[in-house]
Amino acid sequence: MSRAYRIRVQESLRRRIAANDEVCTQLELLEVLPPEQMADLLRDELKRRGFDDKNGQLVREDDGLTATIDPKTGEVTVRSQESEQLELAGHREGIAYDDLGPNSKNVQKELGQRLRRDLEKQAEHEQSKLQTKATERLAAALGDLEKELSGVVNRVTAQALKQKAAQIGQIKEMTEDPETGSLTIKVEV
Amino acid sequence: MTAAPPRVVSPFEGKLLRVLHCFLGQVPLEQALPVIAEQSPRPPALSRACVELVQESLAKGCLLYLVRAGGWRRDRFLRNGQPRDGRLWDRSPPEELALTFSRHALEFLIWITAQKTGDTEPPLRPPDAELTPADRLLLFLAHEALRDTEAAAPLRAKPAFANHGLLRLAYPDDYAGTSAEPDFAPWVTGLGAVILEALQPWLAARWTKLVRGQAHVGDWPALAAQGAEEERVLSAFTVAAEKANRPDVTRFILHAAGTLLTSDVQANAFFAGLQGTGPAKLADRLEVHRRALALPRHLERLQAWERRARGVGFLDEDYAVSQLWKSDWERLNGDELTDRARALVKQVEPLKVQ
Repeated sequence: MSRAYRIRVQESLRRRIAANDEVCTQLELLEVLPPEQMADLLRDELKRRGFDDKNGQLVREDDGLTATIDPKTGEVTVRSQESEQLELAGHREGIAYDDLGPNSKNVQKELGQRLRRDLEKQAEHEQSKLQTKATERLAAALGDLEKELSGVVNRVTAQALKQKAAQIGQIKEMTEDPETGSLTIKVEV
Repeated sequence: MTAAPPRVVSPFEGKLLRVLHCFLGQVPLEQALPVIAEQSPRPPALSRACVELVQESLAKGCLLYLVRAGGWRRDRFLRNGQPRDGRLWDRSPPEELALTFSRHALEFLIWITAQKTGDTEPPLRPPDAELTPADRLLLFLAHEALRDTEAAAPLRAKPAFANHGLLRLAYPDDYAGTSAEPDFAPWVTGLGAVILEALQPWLAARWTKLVRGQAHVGDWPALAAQGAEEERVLSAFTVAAEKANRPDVTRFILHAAGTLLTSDVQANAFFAGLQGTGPAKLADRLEVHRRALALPRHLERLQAWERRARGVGFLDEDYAVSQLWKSDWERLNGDELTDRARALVKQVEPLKVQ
């Protein structure tokens, strides 16, 4: 008479998962001054706002969110990155009719395969959750960044206009309205 | 006076003529489709009567097609760097308008009558260098007639159809995902350019329909592939036209843009049919939206021509060419359309900085 044995299989999965997302756009700067001078003004303004100069690119990293701006071309890249260490474990149980014989080994093998498939599916699900997190984080950051970069463009344009005005003649009067962003320069030529 | 007796042809030749007349729009597709869908034993040769009937049908049918498509319109196109007004036959002397078919046209008709379009043996491989513009027009008409049938897809995979510039320009949706490069060189010079001139109204209507049809595409990767192909053909065609100094043959793009880019148009109209939330990444979703705006985005390229044309002086070599493009651009509201296109492009950008 055969006897039923309970077979228990345990598996674990350890993996580092990562997700990222990015958007690119172009800063539209008016060519008030020659491109090199506009790039210098943009570089100075971005440095003032916490960007670091890395091989000519202005980069600011903030907890997985990286904004990179090329002052020469005005190309802006915003990238969000997420990563986490995944540690999954699970077990499965089955019935075999011997404890060491071929039936037990087959059951063990099949349970192990099913368990690994389950863990892989869980890992995929976690990966997808992490991707959503990275994308949501990027989308949430864009609003603030948009305002900040619009401010950068306005300030750089204002600086360029002042320099241009100084080149044209002697500045007699200059009024700036920070609320509307309007700038009036009276120049005596 | 007595009429000439009807010419007698064999059953195979009768089928071949039915297929040809279908391509020329003179016979309903239903009558030719059974012939194309089946194999017929290939005869060792065609009779003189059949060959003459094919020649006559091709010469009259193709010309009639071009005249109806737009050749009848009074328009202005370049001839040797100078603008020429009038209908198609007013702009070029008759000898330059002659549609010359090579033996490859007849071989194609025999092949498509005898074989199924999916057959690989005997192969359909007319040497590209030996194809005349008229041969290429016949291939275009064949695809146009069979486009909505099962016979079209295997045909598109064959090199003569895969690289066919006019087909690629007319049907980017059919060629989405194709790896072969479109060859526009035959369509911007000589008789090929004359054919393209005649097809301008047809191409404008086709692109209008194509872009409007994007709103019915629900699959994100499918729309991305179509947009990528639109971008690819517009770009390659523009390069070819520029190289041949024929900006006038790109005029249909402005006509299509004029119909599509109305004052109240929204970017959403170009991808309104997309189902679900799409790819997980914002970058991938943005890519699909950008691709869907291939035609509006292309206007910047054409505007650059106009800006360059402004700087061409009276004594410069390309003065007449530049003047014609400037006049086309102004007449078709190029600047206003480009402004609208820019606004559309901005609408899809998640990060707007100005």
